[in-house]
Amino acid sequence: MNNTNLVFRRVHLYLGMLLIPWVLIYALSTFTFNHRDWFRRQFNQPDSWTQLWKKEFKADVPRQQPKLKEWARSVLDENGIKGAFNVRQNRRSVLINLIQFRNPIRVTYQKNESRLQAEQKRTTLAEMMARMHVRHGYGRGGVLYSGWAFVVDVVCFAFIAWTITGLYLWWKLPSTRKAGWVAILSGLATFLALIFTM
Amino acid sequence: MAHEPTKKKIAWSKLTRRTHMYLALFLTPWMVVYALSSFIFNHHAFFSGGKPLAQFEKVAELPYEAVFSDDIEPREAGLQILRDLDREGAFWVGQNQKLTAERFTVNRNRAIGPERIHYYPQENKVIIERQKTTTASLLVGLHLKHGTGHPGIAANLWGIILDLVIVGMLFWVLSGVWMWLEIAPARLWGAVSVLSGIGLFLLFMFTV
Repeated sequence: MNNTNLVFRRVHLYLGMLLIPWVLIYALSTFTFNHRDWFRRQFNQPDSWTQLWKKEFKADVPRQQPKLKEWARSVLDENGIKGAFNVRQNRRSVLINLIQFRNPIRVTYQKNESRLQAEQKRTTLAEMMARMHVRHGYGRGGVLYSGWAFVVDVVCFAFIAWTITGLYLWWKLPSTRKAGWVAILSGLATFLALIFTM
Repeated sequence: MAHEPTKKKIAWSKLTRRTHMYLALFLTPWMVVYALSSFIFNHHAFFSGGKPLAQFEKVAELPYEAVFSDDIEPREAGLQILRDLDREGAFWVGQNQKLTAERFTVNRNRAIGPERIHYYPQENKVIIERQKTTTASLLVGLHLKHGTGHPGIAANLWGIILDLVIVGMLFWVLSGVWMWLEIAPARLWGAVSVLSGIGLFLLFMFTV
């Protein structure tokens, strides 16, 4: 076996071994998306939010998003809640969502009632996998949040690397060329037929 | 004396390797689409510049008269509108839309040139908008396609092939582990890779 062949085999293998958890999560969560009706009861279950605390609270809420985000950060800090979040408001309330894989927290400020309330969601496995599947992008939290985005990039790179190294390894097996061409061309033809007729 | 693999084991190993490879060769276009589109999602601001990936443009305004029963579901009404306009295929409608509103929108999610059909019940007309397809919008659109039970064969077949992609990914993991165990010189670094991946994943799961 020459060096290139060995390097391609090992890259194909070790990248695969490293990314097993992500490949499994993307596969299983895609199954729940593709058969949403079968998993309907696993998503947004009634009464899945449990109250953590509720307290009297009065504040002037900024209207503009950058200041609103700062205000929400200070509310979370005062109450000892850490993590990346998004915030939105309407005339009656402000909703701060802490976007965590396992147990998301939401903090709601009811303006008219001067009340601040924190709740935590009881999460199903399907919901957690779906959150992992859709999580992407840098700059939404600390190092670990960006770390997840980096791994998403690695997964993208891995898919392309598996394709390139896979094609090379197939080409190096002359006995499989004919059947390989049939597989590639039938896949490509199906793919093109579908995108032009969907 | 070294333990020789049996003929049965050799045949099984060959079958696993060939299935691993041919399944991957068939699904190559899908895996490339999912890789590139995921990269676009992960760097959305870079690809979009803060705007939608592709704009919708008005392509037609047509007279359209229809009568719908009061209790019709938005999806049924959407299907009827598409049939009347000879545009049947995969689509979605906002479930809170009402035909008594000023405008009722049906989204016909074609792979190339998705359309928005705005129906104005009081004015008895429809306005059709089509998205100018770019490479990025096509890839993202394909990434988001899923499910079965759509009108038409193509969108349903896409959903079925998506199941095959899922089976493929699970099979590649299982057969990959099997093949790794067969390669003695790769055991150590394979184990390091697996354990590093699991460790990293658990770290993210419990902290992010």
